[in-house]
Amino acid sequence: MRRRILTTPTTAASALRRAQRRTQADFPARLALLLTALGAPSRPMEANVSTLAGAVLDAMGDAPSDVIWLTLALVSGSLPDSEEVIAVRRAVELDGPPKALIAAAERTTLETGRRTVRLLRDATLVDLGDLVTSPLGTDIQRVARNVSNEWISRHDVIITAWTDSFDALRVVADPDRGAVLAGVVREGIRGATSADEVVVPWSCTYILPELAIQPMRCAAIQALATFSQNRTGVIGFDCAPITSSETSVQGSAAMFALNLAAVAHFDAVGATSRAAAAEYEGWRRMLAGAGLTGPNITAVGLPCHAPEPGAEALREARERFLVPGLPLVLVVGSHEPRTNHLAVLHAAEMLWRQGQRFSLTFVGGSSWGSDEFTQRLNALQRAGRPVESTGRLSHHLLRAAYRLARCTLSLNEGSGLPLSESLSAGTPAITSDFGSMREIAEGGGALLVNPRDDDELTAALERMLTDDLFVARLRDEARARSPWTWSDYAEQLWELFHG
Amino acid sequence: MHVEAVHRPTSRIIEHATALRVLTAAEAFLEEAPARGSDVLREASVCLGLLTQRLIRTADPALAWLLLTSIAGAYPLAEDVRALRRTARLGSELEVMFELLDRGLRLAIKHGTVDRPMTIVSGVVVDLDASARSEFHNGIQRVARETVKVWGAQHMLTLVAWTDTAGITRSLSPREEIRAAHWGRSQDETNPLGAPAHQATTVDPHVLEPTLVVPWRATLVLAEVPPADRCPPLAALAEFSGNAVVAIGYDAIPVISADLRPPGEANNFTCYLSVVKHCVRVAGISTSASAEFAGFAHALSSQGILGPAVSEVQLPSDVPPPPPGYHRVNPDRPRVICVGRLEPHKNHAAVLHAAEMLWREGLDFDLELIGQNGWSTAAVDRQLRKLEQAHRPVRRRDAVSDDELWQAIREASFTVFVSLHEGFGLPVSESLACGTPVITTRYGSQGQIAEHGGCLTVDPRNDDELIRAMRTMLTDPATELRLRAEAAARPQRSWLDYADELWSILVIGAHA
Repeated sequence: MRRRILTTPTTAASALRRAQRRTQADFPARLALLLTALGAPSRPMEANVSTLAGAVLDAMGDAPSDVIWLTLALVSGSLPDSEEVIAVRRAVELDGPPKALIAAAERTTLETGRRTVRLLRDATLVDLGDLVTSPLGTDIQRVARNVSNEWISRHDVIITAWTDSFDALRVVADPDRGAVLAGVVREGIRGATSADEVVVPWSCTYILPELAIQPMRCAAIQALATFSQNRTGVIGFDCAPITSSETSVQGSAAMFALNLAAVAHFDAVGATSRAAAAEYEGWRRMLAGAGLTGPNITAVGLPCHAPEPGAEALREARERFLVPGLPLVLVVGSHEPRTNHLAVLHAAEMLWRQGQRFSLTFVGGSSWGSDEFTQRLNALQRAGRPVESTGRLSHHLLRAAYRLARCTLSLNEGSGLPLSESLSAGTPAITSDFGSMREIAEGGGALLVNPRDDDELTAALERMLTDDLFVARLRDEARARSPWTWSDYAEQLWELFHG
Repeated sequence: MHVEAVHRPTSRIIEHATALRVLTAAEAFLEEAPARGSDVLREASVCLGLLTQRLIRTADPALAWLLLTSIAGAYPLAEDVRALRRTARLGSELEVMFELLDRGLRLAIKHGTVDRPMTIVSGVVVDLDASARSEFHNGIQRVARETVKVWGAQHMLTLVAWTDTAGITRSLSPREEIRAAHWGRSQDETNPLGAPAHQATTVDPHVLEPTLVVPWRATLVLAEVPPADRCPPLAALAEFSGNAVVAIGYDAIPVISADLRPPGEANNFTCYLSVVKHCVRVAGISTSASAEFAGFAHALSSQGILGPAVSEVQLPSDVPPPPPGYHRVNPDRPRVICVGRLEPHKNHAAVLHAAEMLWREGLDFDLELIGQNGWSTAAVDRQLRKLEQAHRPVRRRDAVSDDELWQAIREASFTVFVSLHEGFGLPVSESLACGTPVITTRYGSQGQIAEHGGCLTVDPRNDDELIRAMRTMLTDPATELRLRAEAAARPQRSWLDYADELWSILVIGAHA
């Protein structure tokens, strides 16, 4: 005997009315959106909650998971996590589709109730949540900003960020959008833009070009990728918090693992190099034990392109960086264990003691774990060595500095952007013989070393300083590299994410 | 005897102990170590000079590691070894000595074992820290203890634990050795070793004054998953000391299913992975556990690191025989049990949902969940309360003895274990070893166990499949009988089989 106690449409309507009194939410408007999304004929404007709820229930059918996700998101004004979608799916199976509306009514809060909810269909959303609220000038955010600019110039895209509580997406419009994409830090962007209007994507393409690590945001993205009818794509920078916890900021692994739990349900990862793709591929293989197949992973190499600096910038950089009579060795990147700057200091000191003459300049902020670097640097400066460390530089000054250097050193496992910039500027580089650095070096102009072998690094630097013919050859190679621009990069990603 | 709360060795004792450690290191390292005479301090200083000169000549990372270890009475970190090597390249003998003493002293102050004697061992060294120090006997400790029980009877082993501040490995006290290597054995069997394991614990004087045990040109076996504080010194040991470090690979759930695990768990686990990175071999406990460690090794290519060679040595399914004269009687109505800690990835919510669907269909059966609270039980607790209010025949037991557990499994009509992610899935193999059919997850380690019969498998994220499988078991006696016959015919695998295979594949490095 099959005995099902079904919840009736009337119960759903009264739950909605109760929630309406409690939260002032405009449920008629939200239910009308839901009807549109479900492809039901449009309703007269004056329709009340009861009629609309009835019509929605007709349109929901058996209320599969994607419809439950949409119902929770549109009606309550905030995105659900996976656990919620599954719990409501079970309640629907036990007691019927009205349970989905009841759950949506019950999860509506005072805050989510006063929001205006908008449905986005067949659009491309670009999530710049961090860049909008906390621009840090990291390589990752630079990539996110540049690639978004390229997309905006060629395609219809909607830039989105998150509500303060990371429970819903909102559209970032001009002038804030312009400021964010121009890299201008504006006070008060956070929360000032359409905070009361949130959007729910449906049949859209959702692109995440930055590293999302906020737990609430990751949980919402995970459910979106798992249950909603949206295509999802993400730029995969690297998996260092998992594969190199010893050189990662403490605590980053747990946040990154939540990001991966969401990305496991994405359609596509555009990895920034073949090395990054190998990291994601290794992770994807690990998913089998959790019964997941994971996303399609494709390497789309980062741009390798350096615009010519102006004469003024060159003059300023010359004054700022060159020690008369000494060739300049340039190292770009923040001081943290991963960037191996201690090894660079060691190699330099070995050569200074041998009588080599050159100046060494580090460009980049101090990050965590840089105490030992600072101590060593100070000791060398006290001993009269021509070595200095500057903070971050403006882009035009940095571009000029690359062109003044005899060579650069880039031994980190990160994005490889400094290496690309050096080579694109025609300046030879010493870099590591593996990973993304080796890939970039394939285009010519670099000398490969094992960065864990101090002696090899020292010998490489010595050769760069003493072998003029060799350096000239590398210079020619670097100048002959074919450029790979931000626009090339953005277009390839666009195709990947739109499958 | 007067016992001081803080024992503070005199500088003379420290000097003497340090000298002896340096001599021990010299004997291990130098082909022709100077013969020991009566003036320990003078000989040690001669040896230290010889070793330092050697370091300057070779910048040998293993020697840098050994020198730091013997001076500090504690393991160095990777940055210590790197810095000492760099000084050896740049500096005079005196500068190298200063760097060595400076770094050694910092480690010594941190760990407070600078007055301890040190022995150097080669051969096979097994890190059994948690199994030695605590009475917990969870999945991992069970594997570690059963393995060492077998190995101890067949091979020469050195068992080690860590000092309290996680500074260095040390010898076990007799009581710890019984806990680690003779778990469950009677006092007669272990008599020469000392007091029984379960005796009320008082402060173990040995643990306060241990002998430091340093592996050298040895194979160090990580039979457990070391906690985060052991990982930086272990990673440095694995990378620089020249010892071969090998590990049993249990699972990578903390980084792969982080959404289902307590917040922050991945932080500790990735510290462990920074050790695994420098391991020579890993033996996964199932195909899926092996795939997880192999996937991690694959990801290391971006760092120019090969990572460990990963093989599979599948865990055994070992349950005690039924009590003498035991004869299973079918319960009056079907009894379904579900064994495992209450935590999200074990997927109890799906089982409770399926059961309610079937009760509503009118099926009559008892459901029992056996297992302690893990974490995040609120949702399942709510479901349980609802079912109890509806007077469904559902029962929950959180603490049962081993005997009660085996009895419950033997009496059940079938068990349900549909975890979303397992390294092995012990409750599946245990139920089958008891002869009781299982509904389990189709993929991963659970699916692997199911391949040899006795199970219905489902996609644990698909409620319909689970409901169908439970309905079949509850309504079709022929299926239960068939699965019982299959379970009885499953190949047996014992701890002896496991430990032998593990020795040859993980320790010796034979190909599977």
